[in-house]
Formats: sequence, structure tokens, C-alpha cells
Amino acid sequence: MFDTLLFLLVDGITNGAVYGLVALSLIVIYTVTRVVNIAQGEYVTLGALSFSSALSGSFNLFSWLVAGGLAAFALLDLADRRLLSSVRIRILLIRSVWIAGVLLTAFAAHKFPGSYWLAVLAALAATVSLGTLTYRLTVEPVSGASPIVLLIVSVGVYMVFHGVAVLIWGAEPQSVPPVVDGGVSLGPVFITYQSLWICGFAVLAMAGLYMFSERTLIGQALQATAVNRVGAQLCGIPVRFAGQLSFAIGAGFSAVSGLLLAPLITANYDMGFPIGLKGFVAAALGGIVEYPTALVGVVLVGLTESFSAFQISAFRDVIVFLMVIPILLWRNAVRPPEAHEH
Amino acid sequence: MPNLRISGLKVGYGRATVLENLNLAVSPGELVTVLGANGAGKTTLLNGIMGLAPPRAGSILLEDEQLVGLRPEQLVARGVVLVPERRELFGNLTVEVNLRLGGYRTDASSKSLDRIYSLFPILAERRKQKAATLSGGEQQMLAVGRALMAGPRLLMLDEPSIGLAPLIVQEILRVIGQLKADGLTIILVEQNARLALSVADRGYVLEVGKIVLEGTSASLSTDPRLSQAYLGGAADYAAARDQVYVD
Amino acid sequence: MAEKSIPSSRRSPATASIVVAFAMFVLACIIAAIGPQYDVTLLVTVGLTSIAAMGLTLLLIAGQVSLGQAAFMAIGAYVSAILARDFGVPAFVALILGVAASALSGVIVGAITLRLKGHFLPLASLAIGIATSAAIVAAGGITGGASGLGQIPPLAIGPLSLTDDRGFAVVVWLLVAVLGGGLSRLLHTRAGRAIAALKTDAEMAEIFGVNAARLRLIVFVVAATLAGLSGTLYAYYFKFLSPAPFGLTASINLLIACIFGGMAHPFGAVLGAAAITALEMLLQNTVARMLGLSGNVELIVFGLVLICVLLRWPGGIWSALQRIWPQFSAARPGRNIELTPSKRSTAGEDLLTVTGISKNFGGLKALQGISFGVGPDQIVGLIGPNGAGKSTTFNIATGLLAPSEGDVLLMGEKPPRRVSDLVHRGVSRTFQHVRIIPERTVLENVAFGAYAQGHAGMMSGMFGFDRKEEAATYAKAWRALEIVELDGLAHEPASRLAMGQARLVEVARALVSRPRLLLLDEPAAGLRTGEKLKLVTLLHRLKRAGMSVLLVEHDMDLVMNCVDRVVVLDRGQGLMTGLPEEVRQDERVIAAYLGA
Repeated sequence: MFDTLLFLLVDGITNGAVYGLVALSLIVIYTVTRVVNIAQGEYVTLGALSFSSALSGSFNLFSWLVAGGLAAFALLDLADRRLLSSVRIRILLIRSVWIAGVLLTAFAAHKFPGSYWLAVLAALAATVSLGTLTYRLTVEPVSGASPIVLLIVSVGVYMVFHGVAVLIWGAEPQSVPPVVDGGVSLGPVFITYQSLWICGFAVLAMAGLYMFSERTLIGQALQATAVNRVGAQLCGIPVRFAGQLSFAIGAGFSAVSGLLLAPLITANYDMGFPIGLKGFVAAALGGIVEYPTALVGVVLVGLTESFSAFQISAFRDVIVFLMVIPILLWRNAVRPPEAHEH
Repeated sequence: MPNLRISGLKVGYGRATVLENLNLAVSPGELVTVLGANGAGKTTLLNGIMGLAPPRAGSILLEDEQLVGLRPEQLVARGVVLVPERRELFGNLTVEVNLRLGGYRTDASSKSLDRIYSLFPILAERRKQKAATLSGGEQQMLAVGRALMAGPRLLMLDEPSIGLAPLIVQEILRVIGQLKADGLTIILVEQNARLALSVADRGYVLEVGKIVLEGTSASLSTDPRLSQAYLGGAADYAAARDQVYVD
Repeated sequence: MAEKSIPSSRRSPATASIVVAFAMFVLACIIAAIGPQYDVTLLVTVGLTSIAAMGLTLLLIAGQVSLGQAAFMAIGAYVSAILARDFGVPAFVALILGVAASALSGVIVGAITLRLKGHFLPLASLAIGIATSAAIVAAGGITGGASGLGQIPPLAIGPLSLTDDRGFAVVVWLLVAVLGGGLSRLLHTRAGRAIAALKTDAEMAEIFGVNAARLRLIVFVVAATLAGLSGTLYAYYFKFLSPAPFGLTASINLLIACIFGGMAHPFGAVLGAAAITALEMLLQNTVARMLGLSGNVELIVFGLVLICVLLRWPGGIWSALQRIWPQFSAARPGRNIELTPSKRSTAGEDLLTVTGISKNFGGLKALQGISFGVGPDQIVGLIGPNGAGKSTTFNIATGLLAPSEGDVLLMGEKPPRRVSDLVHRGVSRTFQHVRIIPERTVLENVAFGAYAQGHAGMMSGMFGFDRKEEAATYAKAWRALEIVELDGLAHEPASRLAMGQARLVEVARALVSRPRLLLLDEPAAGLRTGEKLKLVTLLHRLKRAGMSVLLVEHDMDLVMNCVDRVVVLDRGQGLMTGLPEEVRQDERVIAAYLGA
């Protein structure tokens, strides 16, 4: 009995760490841009799948697509006639380096197949860029819209990502190796090193984000944009940059959690969406704005899932998804969301 | 030194036009006040200059550079800074972080922080406190301080006296006077007309989106049309009322 | 301009609704009669999607978004299929029970989730939708799980059995036509105006007597019922059920159909349903085959359609058709009708009495010890500089806020518990920030003010049993527009009005509710001098007609020339109460306004 309990606990915490990273991503994005990102789970999928193909040495379509998108959006930005030529050159320079970064990491991973960290880098460069691109193309044009419109737009983004993932990688699951094989035995329970990596990265990411937002001016600017968008604009903080940055952070965290989780469940086009939803259930406990409460939510979701999987496995997801209703009701009573900004 | 020249400005929200064909000029180092009743369009004017409500027509020239079409952050980078009516502080960040963010564009040194603290000593005492915990007067000082951190060439203040006790208003006024003495160009929007005219060089009076009166502070203070326009008394309401009872 | 020659009475939306519904039905019958089998199946699919999409569109018109509408389709489908197949319930009875089950789940889900604000509601509906399809898979013993549920008996009423696909298509489109025509008519009736008002501002709707929570639930249940009907018919047509067509994708596709259709009209939903079905067929049969791509192309394209429509074409198909769709109009009554208060006040009885009210927000004292009254045939002005507490006083007087201390009496009684009962007490108001229904005409906005005097519900709205009541409502609305001298703009969309006109429309709307006490919140802000003069004349006319007015206003001179008494507030405290002449000469008042 105790063995089972311990096993479920470990399982729950590993899953919880992944949901925690997704919840963190959702909160960063929501607070800065007011987008409840339904597509968040897709970054988990894309992280895992692009990592898998980078590791196998194939130079995949995904990095090309992202690089092409970046180039298109650089052109879009340069088309602004009001720019000073110095600014124009700076944009051109930054974007070229950026595009080169995406392609070079992909190329390096292609040249040295099997190199774990190069593949991580390639996958991360592509997904993070995709995050900023998504903000630029689907949020910025309607940044004044109500959260509900932004939410529905993100549903559209989810559909596109989901479809593209199938187009590029097909429906078959891809195998993904762990960082290090093996694990440790904790009494009767075997814990894979991968689980430890996941938990370790989750802690590191949260600590890192905390330090970033408390100690650096850019991090504080991100917080400021989240608290008061108009105030941030009046301070000269470019809110569009803040939005892109939040999407980049969100995409990066989710992608890494995806490629770390993949060895435990196999990577496929469908892996991300339920993870995104469960991360959302956790984040909802804190109204998608409070990190600490969201962490409680993460533990709650992870454990509920493990234990219900053990008790009534078929209804596991039903229970976890429906958890969001009482959570939202409670949150709505305590602190309802602002219907509209301003 | 800035020389602001606004001509033919049209600003609105949604389908509604609030300001139309508005002309206004501010000379270097001048303190100009914009007065008017509620709904006259004073805040809209400042939002229009600041790019928060993008102008639909007209031009805003700051030393021959066209400001229309620039985003707020670009304007801040050019030294056009607004202290908004609602202050728009970052409530859950500390006083000091609020101030540092005010200098986001200028890589503000601790020297400029010290300058703000010497202008508003109370802010130095409260530096580690969250902005939301400050009193109304302290928040207004923080809002002004944050704007100054951006190193403004043109400072715009939207009703800085609103909802504040007279003593605090005097304190804010003292700082505005000091900034003017330092040579800063200022646009002050106020509901409290006497207060504003006591510090301003010149003034404009807005009524329903149009400038109906302008002149030096001295001439405006004695102009009977001011209180009329301000309190809305230009119309012959008595006649309108009596019309009902004629028959 | 040939269309001008058509008499206006025949170009009403109600007539057009019937014409379009009939034309739709005839077209469907023709396709059902002569089209190949494949087309008949498509026809049924479009029809079924339309039924559910019309429900969702009504929900969207009320300002709510559901991302889990397919759950109600699933409930209808599975309940009726299982009852008919495994429990031997007659097919038609099972159909009724299936739809009833959807309606009931709509009541339950709505009762639980409709209090959620902003984006919480669509998120909750998303979770419910996904959980429902997961539950169908999980409960494999009853539902057949992922492998599905076959051998569903055909739809039959007694000996009449609907086994013919073509006949089925005709039945489906008969339903589409009746529902579409009815809902289209509903938009411009008492219930339809209330639903549109709900989206604009629930508080405003309540001021005119709409029980917002109840109406929201009703609309939600209607949408769930239509989804259930669609699902049930799906089960009887395809005779096979699996969780796939009721999953997240189905809910999203339904939403796309509505958004593509314009989110404004049931016929838009039908067109949206037809458009996405056509697009789906095109992608499956042509593009995917030509490029040799697997089935997910449609997911990508639908996603792109959703993003692009929301970003670039938020009005959807309906916005393009609106130009040829007849504008709503109502005939102007021949004779003049009186718009006097519902009940004459007796002398000496105060309509509003405020005694010693205070209000604290957290630690902030917004109001301290304010007292005043509004007597019969009296105009009272409430003035004070910005931040003096005028709005707070106003909201306490109308029961929107509860005072921390003190008492408010409206017509001698405590303010009603529900805001929607205020109008029955004889109180109406306007808003500082104009709250009118932007997409409706001026006349319809004013007509909404008569909500509390009417009784016609959704059914009589859909099928035209409300003609007499509507005629009376519009007669009042015309009269109110004449009083504020805006009858020339009656058929303008409210969104095109200038600020001053919009404020007067709010006054007219309040007049239609025939109040004894009218509360005006800064009616002169943004008005030009000429308009202000008209407002003063209007207020005195109202007073003469026996109405009392509480006026919150910044324009001191206007107030001074309008009112019988003035209450001056400054920083949350009552500075003085008196006659206009007394207040005008008071040094403290001048200081508070112009500055010391």
C-alpha cells in the first residue's frame, strides 16, 4: 500500500512539475498580454517533436518555417516608413542575427546528429522564435481587444499548430531519449533520472524567472506591463516588446518541459494539448495571475491525476478537467477577472 | 529647448470626435495651463499628444519633428512625458522600482533618483514600500517623480490636484514652480482654475472640444468670460426655462 | 433605386425573415428531391450544424461565448440513441427526451457557470466540453466508448417511420426554416432588445427591468436545447454515434461557423454553417487529394480562417449582407399619446429621501453623512467638483451600492433588493458614460425602455403574437423621441450618434419607462450650448408633466437655472443644501469649484 502511495506521489510530482512549467508560461503570457493561451500545450508538443528530429539529424521543415516567418515579420517591421534609418539598420541587424541563429543551430544539430544539447538548442531556438512570431502576428494587431477575443484567436493558433505538427511529423509517436538513462531506487520505488531532471528544471526555471523579474530592469518592466499597461507605456516601456518577450519565455519553458517529458511518455502530435489544459487548471487556481497559488494548483492537479488514474483510470481526465469549474467559481467569487481593460 | 506647435488637431475615441481643429502653441520654458469644465476634452488633448488616443488629423510639431503617429514609448524617448490623471502607478512594485522604471529609456543613474528624493523627501522614506500602500498625495508625488525620471523636455500634468487635500496641493504646486524655474516646459491641465493660473504663464480655455479663450494668466484671471466658460454659464438658460411656462 | 418603390411595410425584417426562411426551405426541398445521395447527406449536415449554430449565435448576441457547445449535442444524441436502442423507448419519445436532457443539462451547467465573469465562462465551457467527450469514451459500457454505438432505430411517430434520407433532409430544413425565421423575428422584439441590451451592459438592462441572470440562463438553455436537437437528429440520421463528432473540434467548428456568419443573425449562422461545410468538403476532396496531404489540412485552414476573420473581418458574412437586409422600422403612430408618469405623486410625499448616508471603500471614506430629499414635481441638483462623491451618492440612491451607514427611501420604502425591480417602483435613470445598444437603431434603443411594461416572451416574439404590444411600445418610443426632438434620427444606428444626441436618446429611453423619479447622471457633459438649452427646456417640461428629477451635473449655471434645490458635495461631505440663489452666493461653493 505504502509502495503504491509513494509511486503515485513521485508520478504526481513529476507530472506536476511539467504542469507547473506550463502554468508558469500561461501566467507570464496572460499577465503581460491578457491572452489566455489555449495553444500553450502545442509548444510542449513542438518542443518535443522538433527536439526529436534535431537529435536524429534531420534538418526539419519546422526551423525553416520559423526562419521564414521571422524574415516576413522583419520585412513587415521595416515597412514602417516613419522609422529612422539608424533604427532600421538596428532592426535589420538584430533580425538577421536572430534568423541566422535559428538556422545555424538547426544546421549544427544536423551536422552533429545525436548531440543532445545541440538538439535542445535547435529546438529551443525554433520554438521560442515561434512564440514571438505568434504574438506579432495574432496578438499585436488586436492588442486592444477583449480577453475573450484574444482567447478565441489563440484557439485558432492551436488548430494551426496542431495541424502543422501532424503535417511535419506525422501521427506516429517519435522516440526521445532521456538526458541520462537509468534512475535511483528509493526504497521500493524506482525514480528515473529524467523525473529528477524535470523537477530540477522546473525549480530552476521558477527561480530564474523570479530573479529575472525582481532583479533586472527588463524583468521589472515586464511586471510593470502586467500590472498597468498604460503606466508602462507612459514610462517608455515598449509594450510590444514586453508581449513578445512574454511569449518567448512561455514558449521556451513549455518547449523544454515537453522535450524533458517526452522520454517518459513518447512524443507525438497529441501530447501537448491535455498538458496545456492541465497546466491551465493549475494556473486557474491563482486566476492565471498569481504564481504561488498556481503552484498549489499544480500539486493539486498532479496528485489528483495520479490518484484518480489509480482508482478510476478511465475517468482520470474527466475529473482533472472538471476540477477547473469549482476552481473558477471560487476564483470568480474571490476576485473576478476584469471584464475589460481600462 | 522645445517649442510645441499643435495645429488642426482632431482626436476622438471610437466613432466620437472629442477635439476638432485645435491649435495650441507652447514656447520654450513656458508653463501653459489648459482649463475647462468636465467633458471639455482636456484629458483627450493630452492623450492625443501622447499617442494614447492617436490623432485623426492635424499636426503636432516638437522642434520641427512631427509627433503624430508615434507610439507612447517613442514619445517618451523624445522627452515628451505625461503624468496621467489616474496616475497609472505600478501598485505592487516598490516606490523605488516605480521610479527606476520611469527612467527605463534613459538608463537612469542613481543621481537622478537622488534628485527625485530631494524634490520629494517623503518618497525617499517610502522607497521600499509598495506604491499601492501610499496615500493619495504621496502617489501623486510618485507619479510626478516617475515622469521626471524619464528626463522630460516637455512635461504634461493632468489634474495633479484632483482629490488631494489643500496642503498636499500646495506641495505639488511648489514642485511645479521649481521645475519651471529650472527651465522645464510644462503643460498643466487643471480643473482648479485659480490654482493653475497662479503658477502658469499663459492659459487656454476649452469648451466642448474647442478653444474659446486664451491669454496670459493675468488677463484670464480677471476675465469674466473665464468663470462663464468654466462653469458653463455662457448660455441663456433662464430664457430656455421660461419658454416652458409662457403658455 | 428600384428598391425604394417597394412599400416600406413589406420590407420589414419580419417579412424578410419569412421570405428567406421559405426560400431556404424550398431550395432544400429541391436539392433533397433531385440531388444525388451525397448532396442529401451534405444538406442534412449543413442543416444540423445550422440548428446548433443558430443557438450559439443567440448566445453570442447576448454577449456570451461557449467553447463546449458540442457537449449538449452529445448529450441529446446519446440519450435519445441509448433510450431508443437499448430501452425500447419509441423513437420520437426518445427524441423528445434527448432534447429535454440537453435542456436540463443546459439549466444545470448554466446555473453553475453563468455567474463566471469575462473569459472565465468560455474557459469553463471548454473544460465541460472536453470532459464530456472524455466521459463518453470512459463510460464505454453504456456509450460504446471510442468504438461507437450503432444500430440506432429510425425516427418514427407511431406507424410513420422516417427511413428515407431525402424525407429526413426535408424535415431537418423545415426545422431550420421555422427556427431561423422565428429567431430572426425575435431579434427585433421585446425579448430580442433585452438580449442585445444584456450584451451592451447588464446593469443598464436591469435598470429597465430585465432580470439579467434569468434572461442569461434562458438564452443559455435555448442554445443548449438547439444543440441537443441537432445532436438527436444527427443520431437518427447517421444511425451511428461515436465521440469524435462531439469533441473539442466540433465545438470550435460550431463557433467558427457563427463567427464566420457574423455573430449577429441566425441566417448568418446558417450561411456560416454552409460555408464551413463547403470549405471542409473542398479541402477533403480536392486540396488534400491533390497535394497528397493527410486530413489535418482542414484543421490548419479552419484555424487560419478563425484567426483571419477575427482579426480582419469581425463582422463576418452578415456584415456584407446587412446592407441589403431591410432596416428595422416601426410606423409612427397617427395620434399623440401621453407619456406621463405611471402614477401621480401625492403632495408632501418625498420620492427619494437620503438620511445620513456614509460609504467606505476599504479605508477610504468616500461619503460622510449626506442627507437630502427629492419631493414631488421637484428638480434637485447634486453638484460638486471631481471626486466629491456624486456618483457614489447616485449609485446608493438607486440601490446599486449599499451605504455603510444611513438610510435610503424610494417612494417611502427601502430600495428594492433587485435592481430590476427599480423600474416598477417608478425610478429610471441615465448613465454618465452612455450605455446604448450600438448595433440597434435609435428607435429600438428607446423602445427597450418600455421593457417593464410589456409581457411578450420569446415564443410570442418568434411567432408574432406580440403585434399589439409592440405597436404600443413603438408608439411610446416615437413620442419620447419627439419630446427630445430626435425623431428625425429614429432609424439611425445608435453607434453613429454624437455624444449629445446619445445622451438625449438615454433620456428618451428613460421617459418610455414612465418614471415618477428620473435620475440624470451628467446629462450635459459633452453637449453643445444649443443642446444644453434644449435640455433645460426639456427638464422643465418633464417637471410640468409631473416628474421629479435628480440631476448630477458639472455645469453649475445649467443646474442653477434648472433646479428647485441644490445639494453641494465636496470631498465626500455635504457642503450645503439650499436654493440656487443661496448656493450661487456662497463663498465656500465658489472656493470648492474655482479653487481657493
